[in-house]
Amino acid sequence: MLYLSQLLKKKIFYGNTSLVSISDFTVSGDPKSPYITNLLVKKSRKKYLIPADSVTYDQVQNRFTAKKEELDFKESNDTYFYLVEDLLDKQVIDITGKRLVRVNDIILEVNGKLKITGIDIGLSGITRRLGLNFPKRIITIPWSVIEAFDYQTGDVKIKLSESKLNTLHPAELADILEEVGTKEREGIVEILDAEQAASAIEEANEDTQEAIIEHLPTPQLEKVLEKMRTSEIADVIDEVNEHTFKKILKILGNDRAKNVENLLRFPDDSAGGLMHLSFYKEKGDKTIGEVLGHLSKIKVQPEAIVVIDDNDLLLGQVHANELINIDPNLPLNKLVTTSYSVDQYASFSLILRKFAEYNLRVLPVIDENNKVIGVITIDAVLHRIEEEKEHAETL
Amino acid sequence: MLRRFKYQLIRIAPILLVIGPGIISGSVDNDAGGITTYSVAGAQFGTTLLWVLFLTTFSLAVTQEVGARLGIATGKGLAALIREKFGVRWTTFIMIVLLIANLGTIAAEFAGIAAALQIVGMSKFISVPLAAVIIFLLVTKGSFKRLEKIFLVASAFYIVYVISAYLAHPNWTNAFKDLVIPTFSANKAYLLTLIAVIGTTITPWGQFFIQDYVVDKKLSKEDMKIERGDVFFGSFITNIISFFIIVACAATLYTHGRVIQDAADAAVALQPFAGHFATILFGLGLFNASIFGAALVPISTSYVITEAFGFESGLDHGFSEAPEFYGLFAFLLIIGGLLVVLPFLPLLTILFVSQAVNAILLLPIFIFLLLLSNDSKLLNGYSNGKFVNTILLVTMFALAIASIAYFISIFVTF
Repeated sequence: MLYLSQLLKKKIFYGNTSLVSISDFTVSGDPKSPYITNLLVKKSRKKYLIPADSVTYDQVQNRFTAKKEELDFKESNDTYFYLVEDLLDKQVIDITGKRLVRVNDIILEVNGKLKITGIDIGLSGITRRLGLNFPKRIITIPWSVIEAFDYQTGDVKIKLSESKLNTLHPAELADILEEVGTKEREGIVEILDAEQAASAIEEANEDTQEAIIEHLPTPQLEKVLEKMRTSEIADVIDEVNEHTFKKILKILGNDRAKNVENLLRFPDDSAGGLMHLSFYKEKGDKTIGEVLGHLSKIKVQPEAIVVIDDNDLLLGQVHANELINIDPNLPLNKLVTTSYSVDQYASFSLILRKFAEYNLRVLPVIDENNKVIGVITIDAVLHRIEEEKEHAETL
Repeated sequence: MLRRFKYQLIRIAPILLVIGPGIISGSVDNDAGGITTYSVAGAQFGTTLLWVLFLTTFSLAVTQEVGARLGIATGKGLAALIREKFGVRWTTFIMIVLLIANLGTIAAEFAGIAAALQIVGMSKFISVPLAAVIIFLLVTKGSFKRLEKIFLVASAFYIVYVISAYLAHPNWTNAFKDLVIPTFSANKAYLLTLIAVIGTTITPWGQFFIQDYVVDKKLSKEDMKIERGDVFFGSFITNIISFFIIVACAATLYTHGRVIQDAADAAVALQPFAGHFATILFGLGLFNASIFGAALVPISTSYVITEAFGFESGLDHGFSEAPEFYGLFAFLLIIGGLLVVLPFLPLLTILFVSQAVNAILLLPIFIFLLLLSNDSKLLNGYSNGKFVNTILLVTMFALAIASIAYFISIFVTF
C-alpha cells in the first residue's frame, strides 16, 4: 500500500537533477474518490502549486519525475482542499464505526492518477511517520465511509443532501457533536438536514446544546426550532444567553412562545418540566373502530391514548396494542381500568416510583383542575436519570 | 416561575455559570509538590524568594488565560492543537516531555502520600503500593468522580496557613519588601529553589488541564470575559496561599534555623495555629492533596496522550475498548510509585526536585503555547496581544536563564 507519508518531502527529479521537494497535495474530483490534482512545493521560500499531470510517479522507485525541465509554477491559495493542511492529523468521522477518529496517515492508490482510498488510524500510521518501522497492526478505514470536516473548501465540496451524517442515529451524532472542536461542530450542524439536526440537539448534553443553539445562524435556527418539540425547546432555552433566548421566542411566534414560557414555570425535574405537550387524546365515548380508523391515518403511532371525558378530564389511558382483537363497537372508556396520573408539580422521585411500580410507558400530567396538560414518556424519564448520573459524575 | 427565576439569576450573576476551571486548577496547583516547595523555600531562605512568587503570579495568570482562550476559541485541547498544527513528530516530542514531567509530578504525589503516612508510622513500602491500588480501583470503578468534590472542599485546609502565619508574628515589613524587591543569590540551592517555586506554580500538567477543562465545559466566546476573571482570580488565590505558606515557614522554621527533613518538620509551621495538633493537621492536609493529585494527574495524562495519538480514551470505555488508555494509567501509577519506593531517595528530595524538573520541561511547552496563541487564522480574532506575549516571553527567558544558571552552578562554585 502507498501512504501519503511516503510521498511527503520527496523531490521532483528531471533526469538526475532534483528540482523541488513536495510539502503537500491538493485533491479534487468526485468526493467519493478524490485524486491528487496539484503538488505543493516550496521555491525560494514561497509556496507554489504544480499540476499533478506535469509529473509522473513511479511507485517501484518511489520517485516523481517532471515531464519537462521547466515546471509550471502556479501561486498557491486557500481555496483548495489540501491533504496535509486539511486532513492529515485532523479528526474525521468514521460513519460505519459511528465515532471520531484521527487521521494518522492517508492511503493512496496509483491508478493513472494518485487516488485517495482510505486512512490509517492505527499506531502503524504514527510509527511509519516517526520512521520507526516495527510491525504494528494497521487499522484502516476506506474513504467511502469517512466524513471530513474541511470539505467546505475546494471543489470537493459536498452536497448537503449527500452528507453521510444524515444516516447516523441522532444519539450517535450527539456523541460526536459533544466531542469535536467548535469549528467542526458548527460545520456538522450546518450540513445536517433540519430534522436530523433537531433530533441530534435534543440528544446532546446541556453544554453542547447551548453551544450549538447560540451559534446557529438565524435561518437555520428557524428550521431547527420548527422541527424541535416544544418541551425540548423549553429545556434548551434555559441554558442559552439572553440574546439567543429572546431570538428563539421571537422565531417561535406568539403561540409556541407562550407554551414554552408556560413550561419554564416548572422545575426541570418536576412533572411539568419533563412532560411533552403534544400527545394523542380521545374522548371516552368514541368507539374502538373510530379510534383505529383515526390511528391508521396518522404517521407516528402514539405509545398510548389518553382517554378524556367531555370536560377534558382524565379518564385513564389505553395502549394502542390493547385495541387489537377487540369488538370495534365498544366505546373506548370500557377499556380503561385504572387511571394513573401525576400533578404538574409532582417530584421526579414520585414520577419514577409510578413508572416502576405500574410498569408504565406513558404517564399523563394533570393541572389543578384535573385537566390533562401533557404526558411524560418513559424516554423522558430515562433521559432524566442519565442526566442525573452525568451530573453526579462531573464536577 | 422557578426555571425562569433560575434563568434570571444566571443573568444577574453570570459568574456562577462558568466559574470553576481556573479556581480548581489553581487549588490543585497547591499539591504535594507545591506545599513542600513553598515550605522548603520559606524554611531555607526565609521570605527572600517571595519576589519570585509575586512575579510568577502574573505568569501563571497569563499562561492560564492563554490556555483557557485557546480552549474557548477552538473547542480543542492543547495536545489536539499541537497535533493538528505541527504533526506527529512534534506531538510525540511534546508527549514525551509531558510524560516525563507528569511522571515527576505523580512521583511527587506518591511521595506526599508516603510522607503524610510516615507521620503515623506507616512505611512507604506499604503506603505507596496500597495507595496506587486504591487509586486504580477508585478511578476505574467510577467512584473517584464522586469523591472529587470532597477532595476539593478539603483542600480549603490551606486556609490554616493564613492563620498560622498571622499568629507566628512574622516580620511583615520584611515580607512585603521581599515581595516586591528582588534579591538574587548565585548559590546552587537558591537557584534550585527558585526554579522549583516557578515549576510548582506553572506546570505542564496545569497547562493541559485548564484547556481541557474549558473545552469539556463547552465555554463559548461570550464566556471569555468571565473565564478570564476566573483564571486571574484562581491564580491570585493560589499564590496568596503560597505566600502565607512561605511566610509561616519563614517565621517558624527559618528564624529558628530549622531545616525541613521530613513532613513532621514542615508541620512545625502550623504550630502557632494548631499547637500539638499541627503534625496531624499537616499530615491530613498533605494526604488529601497528594491522593487527589495522584489520581488526577495520571488520569488526565492518559487522556491527553491517548487523544493526541488517536486512541480511544476516557472512562466511558471499557478495558477492552480502550486498552492503551487504561494501560497508560496503570503504567503511570506503577512507575510513579516505583520512583518513590525504589531509589531510596529521601521523600522530600523527590517532592522538591520533581518541581524543578517540571519547570525546565515547561520551556518546550511554552514555545508551542506561544506559537499557537499567536496563530490568528486558528484563533480568528482571539490571538495574543502584546502584553500577553511580553509576559510569556519574559517568563520563558527568566526560566531558561535560571535553569542554565543552575546547571552552571552545579559545576562551578561561585
